Amino acid sequence: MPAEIAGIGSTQQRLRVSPGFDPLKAAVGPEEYFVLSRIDGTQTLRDVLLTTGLPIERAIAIVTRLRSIGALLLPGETATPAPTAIPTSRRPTPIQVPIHRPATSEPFRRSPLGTTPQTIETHELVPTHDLTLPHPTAEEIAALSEINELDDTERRRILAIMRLLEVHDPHALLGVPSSADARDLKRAYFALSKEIHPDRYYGKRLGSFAHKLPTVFEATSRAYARLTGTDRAKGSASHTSIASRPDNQPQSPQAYAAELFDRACQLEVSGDAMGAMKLFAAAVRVDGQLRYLRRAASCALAARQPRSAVEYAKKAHTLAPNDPSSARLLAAAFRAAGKLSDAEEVLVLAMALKSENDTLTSELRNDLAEVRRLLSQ
Amino acid sequence: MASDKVIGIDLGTTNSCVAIVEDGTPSVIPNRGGYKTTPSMVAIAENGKRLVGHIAKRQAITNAENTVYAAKRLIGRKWGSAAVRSSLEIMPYRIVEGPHDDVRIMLRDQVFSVPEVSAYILQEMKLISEEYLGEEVPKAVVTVPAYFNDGQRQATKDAGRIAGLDVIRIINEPTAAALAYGFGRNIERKVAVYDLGGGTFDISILEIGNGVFEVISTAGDTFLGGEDFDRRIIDWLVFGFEKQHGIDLRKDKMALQRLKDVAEKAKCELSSVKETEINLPFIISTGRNEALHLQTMLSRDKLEELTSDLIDRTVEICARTLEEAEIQKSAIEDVILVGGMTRMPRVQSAVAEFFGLEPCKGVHPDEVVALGAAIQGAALTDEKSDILLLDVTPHSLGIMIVGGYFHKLIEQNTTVPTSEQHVFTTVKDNQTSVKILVLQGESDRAEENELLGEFVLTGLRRAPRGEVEVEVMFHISADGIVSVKARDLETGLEQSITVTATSGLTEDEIKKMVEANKDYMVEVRSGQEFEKARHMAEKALEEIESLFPQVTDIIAGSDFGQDAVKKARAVVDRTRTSIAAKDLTTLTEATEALNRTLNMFRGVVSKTRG
Repeated sequence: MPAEIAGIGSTQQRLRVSPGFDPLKAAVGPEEYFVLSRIDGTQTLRDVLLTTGLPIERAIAIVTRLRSIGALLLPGETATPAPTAIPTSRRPTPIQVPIHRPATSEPFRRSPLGTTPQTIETHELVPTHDLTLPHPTAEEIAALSEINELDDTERRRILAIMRLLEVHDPHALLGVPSSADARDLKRAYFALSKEIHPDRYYGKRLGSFAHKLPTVFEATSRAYARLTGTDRAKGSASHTSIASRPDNQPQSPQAYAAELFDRACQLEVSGDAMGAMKLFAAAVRVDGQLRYLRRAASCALAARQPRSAVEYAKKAHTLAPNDPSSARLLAAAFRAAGKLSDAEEVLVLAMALKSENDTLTSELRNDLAEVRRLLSQ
Repeated sequence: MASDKVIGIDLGTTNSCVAIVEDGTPSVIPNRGGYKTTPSMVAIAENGKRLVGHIAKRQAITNAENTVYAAKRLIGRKWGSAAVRSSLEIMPYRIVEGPHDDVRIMLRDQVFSVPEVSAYILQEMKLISEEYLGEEVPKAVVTVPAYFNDGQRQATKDAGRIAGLDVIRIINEPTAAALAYGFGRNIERKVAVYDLGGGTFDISILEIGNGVFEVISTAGDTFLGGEDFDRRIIDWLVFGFEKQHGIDLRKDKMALQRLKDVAEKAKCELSSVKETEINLPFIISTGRNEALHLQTMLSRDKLEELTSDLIDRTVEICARTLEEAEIQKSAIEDVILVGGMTRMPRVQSAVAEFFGLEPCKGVHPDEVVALGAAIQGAALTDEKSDILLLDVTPHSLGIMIVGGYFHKLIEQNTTVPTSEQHVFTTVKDNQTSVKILVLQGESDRAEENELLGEFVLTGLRRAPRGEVEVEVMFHISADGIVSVKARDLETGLEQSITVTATSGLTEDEIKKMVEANKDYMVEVRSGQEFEKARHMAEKALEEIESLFPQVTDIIAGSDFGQDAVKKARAVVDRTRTSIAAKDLTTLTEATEALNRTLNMFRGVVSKTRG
């Protein structure tokens, strides 16, 4: 298995089928179509070649032919690639750009300050965008020929990225293969920024590019943030610890919750309803079982924390919808929170659904009478 | 002839510095006295003449009331702010309230705005460079602490305009320092800039590579700097003197100024020696024709003891900044020290200890910021420059929504230029206008953030609340200019503002506006959540309807059977109504009751079957 294939590059790349490619029109043979059908953008070329079952040379010949008729896209490319402009390795060669109009009088707009342009080995990763701009739109032709202070390559780069804005492929936007690692991404982003950051054209006449530049830079900057996971979108990073552990022994969450629950019960007995509630709440967070929830709810009621009481009682009632005492607890919590009609609703339903007639029924009945009395006031 | 060159100015709290890039080499421009830094001091002499820099400093003792120092602590601040209140106590010059809740300084019966005072310093820096270059220099890049808000930045820009300078860019001091550090070196690494200056502390993390300087994170404390260290020494001296003589030296402005000078001097000396003598003869009169002297020894150990909490605070901020940026301490490959305070050995060792590496010694802490500003000036205007700074917005930006909350559209530390949009809806029936309050800050409460500007979008269709959608778009340009646009998605009507300067509104005024503008409020579009909630509700409705006949049969006989059916029916209706009203809040409540009822229905049915 060769590491590289002429005209395509590394066999570690993940190729995709060009969305615009029509195998019927291109009159590919069954073998070719089969190979084409193996290419899904997720397997490396090497794996594809190995899994076709064809002799390696034959498989390579087919892939090379598919590539030459525009059926395959390299990572970072979009439809209609120009096969001549394909880099042969992860460090791409500069692209030969057909010049439609003479470049401006500054072939080296920016060179390192005070010195002749120098290339630095480690920084050679130049983003690959298809600067040939196949089938240019009228707007693009106008942009390429308007009078401004950008040179041809700069214009083409910006227009090429504009084309990619709709694709939602951050790798393509940055012009890197999907195999690019963090360092490659950074280098590509930095190299690209030097071409498309508005500051690089400070005080220049930019024509229609004045609006394009920020758009293009913002899109690449966002793509970079997405790929490196530095999205400024707020993540839930807060991990509040619930209580300190007595020792450093590993402990199952259930055991830990049980321990919290026991400590909470002790506090409740000692009359510290508030402290107990906090521990019950902690236990419930670790292990939301019915017993804990109900105890937490009644403790919250005792501690005059109706909102917490409602929260726990609701959860308890969800776990045991036909348990009248859960319903009663929820009604009491609603009542404490001032939600009388909710309390009434829960009690009425509990009464109606309850079959046996016992002490609990009479307590529910009393509660309901009290809630209705309050409601009528 | 006007030069096309751009100077870089570090407008510091205590000292300022100017630099320029010539033939690809950045260098500091010395002033007439040959010094590379100039005191940020302005005074009005007895004859009404304006004195700036070293001259102002030299007469500061005898003319304390008419000499302004540390004006940077006041620039862009509101009269009611804590910084101004604390300055009122310690500054020997008179600080008075301005007409726009701003701060004015009174010198010899003349009132100056703070930008004016800063302008005199900028003008001095401009003159220094013009004498050196032999031509007029109209453009400058000026640095500010990373934590300066938009108001303070704008006030600094205004100062430039007053000084006859076109401030083409404001950049952050630590960023400038990193530019100077990385300039001309082919490096690729992640660095931290620890900047402890005269009045502020900043920490920034940057990624450098191929001439690109990407700011990853920046944070700081605008109330922490060398002046605080000085004040600790002053407090210690005042306390000792009071114990000995029973006289409070703070009451005497002249004595206070001398204490200030000697404290600063002792602090600097203790960076190189272990102990220094403080000697202030004739510091004050006893009132009985007799003068007292202040003479004592201050050791480095004592200074470190007096200021250890200040240093600890800077380290805490470093830790928090790294944590928020999700950067491991070990990923930092170099630490750059900026600001005169970093000469203090204890500061250096604290930094080295925290980052686990020796700070870079290659940069000059007093000059590096100005050099960086000049480098950015060249990067913007010099064809040959190969430097690009990817800067970030130091504070989050957003608008006020219903309830007085702050809805962020652009998070802090986002690379600029950037834009963001979000759809909001009306909160009242027949609401025909929305007011967009553009705010900057990190608090969830609108009134705790800085108000940048406001505008009203009118002509909305009369409709039930939540139906009219307004899209709000934020844009920050590469030079930090914020523009905000609001668009009625139905009619396409638009309103926009470019935030240029801050209005002098106080928190109270914003609070009042919250009240007064309730009719204007918008809320975050909850469409997606609503759709999800509706889907859930409809599924539950379907099931409960199918159970209704069965349950009715079962419970009809019980005491509360009819009652319960009625209640359940009411819950179902309530859910339907809130779906129709597209009201997420009531739907959430109704769905909860619905699910509760459904759960009980299910139980009844299964019990009977079983």
